[in-house]
Amino acid sequence: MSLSELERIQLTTRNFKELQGLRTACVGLVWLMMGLAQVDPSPLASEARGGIGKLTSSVAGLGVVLALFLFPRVKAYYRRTFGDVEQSSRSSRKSMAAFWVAAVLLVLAAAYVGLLPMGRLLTLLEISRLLPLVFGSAMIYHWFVLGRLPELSYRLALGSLLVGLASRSPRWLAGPDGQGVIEIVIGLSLMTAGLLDHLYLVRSMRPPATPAQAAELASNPRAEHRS
Amino acid sequence: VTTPFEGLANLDRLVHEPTRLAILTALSACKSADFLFLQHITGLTKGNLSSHLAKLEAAGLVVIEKRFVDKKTQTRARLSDAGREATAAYWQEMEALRKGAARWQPTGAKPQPAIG
Repeated sequence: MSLSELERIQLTTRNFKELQGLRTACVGLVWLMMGLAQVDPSPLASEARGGIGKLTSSVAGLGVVLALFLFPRVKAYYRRTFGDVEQSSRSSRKSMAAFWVAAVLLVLAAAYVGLLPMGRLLTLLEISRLLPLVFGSAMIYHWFVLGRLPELSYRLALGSLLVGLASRSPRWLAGPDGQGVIEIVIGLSLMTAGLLDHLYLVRSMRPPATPAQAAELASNPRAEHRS
Repeated sequence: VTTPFEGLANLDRLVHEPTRLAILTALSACKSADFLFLQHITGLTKGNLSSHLAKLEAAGLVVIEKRFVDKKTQTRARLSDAGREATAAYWQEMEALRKGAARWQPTGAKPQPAIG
């Protein structure tokens, strides 16, 4: 048992719930659908805009219902497939508190350097700019919490993308589709991060050895019993 | 004069065994975990995991609880206070050994010439 194996065990156990990426993907699906419902689907065919808009809204509504339907089932899937861990309440509470402190500090820092005008911080336009900043900083923060592993660096990349999106010009966001596009990008980022988290968890939680593999390991202790 | 490597012989054998160390490492990173999770994270068979958990329970390092969840028995394991102390003491000892080994020079060994 190498030190890196023990590190993998510790990291996966400590962050078992955070790594259940299909839950994040469901949240991402809701954001994606909310964004799709707001974006004008047919800028070139203005006469068809009404009908297509209704269709998009219906599809988006169905997507949200699907995500809400899947969310509790995903939780059950993880429990059934990989078991259950009761995480240390002290560490998860501390982790969340640290995140919110970091998020507030980031927003204040952004306001200080002029990225977000303080006076308009609570207007709808600024809130829409805050969203990618909050989601982006959450992704970057989680990457730090999860041990800055190169395997999880997609969190850093997606987080940086969202923080970068928050710093785009307000004129671009003030367009008719600005809010919808932001929500689509947030949704896609959450879905991508979620799916990659899920793959990491699946790789980390390798299937238990079969009795045949255990017997082979007993006869040849140097052999790896897992492929 | 003792070498740092002689300290290896004094390590807690119950904790030092790789499979049990993996179980204790997992349990030290959470409040409690169920049997299925421990099986997946360590890659052990049911029989092997049961046997190691029984040894750890007998030594008072792990507490095993059986609950009924959805009409099925669920076995959960958590570290006892003694288990947490033993695991922490083990890692402290390993760290001390590592540092000792890095500093150690065999008696009578000539100092290494400086390179470059």
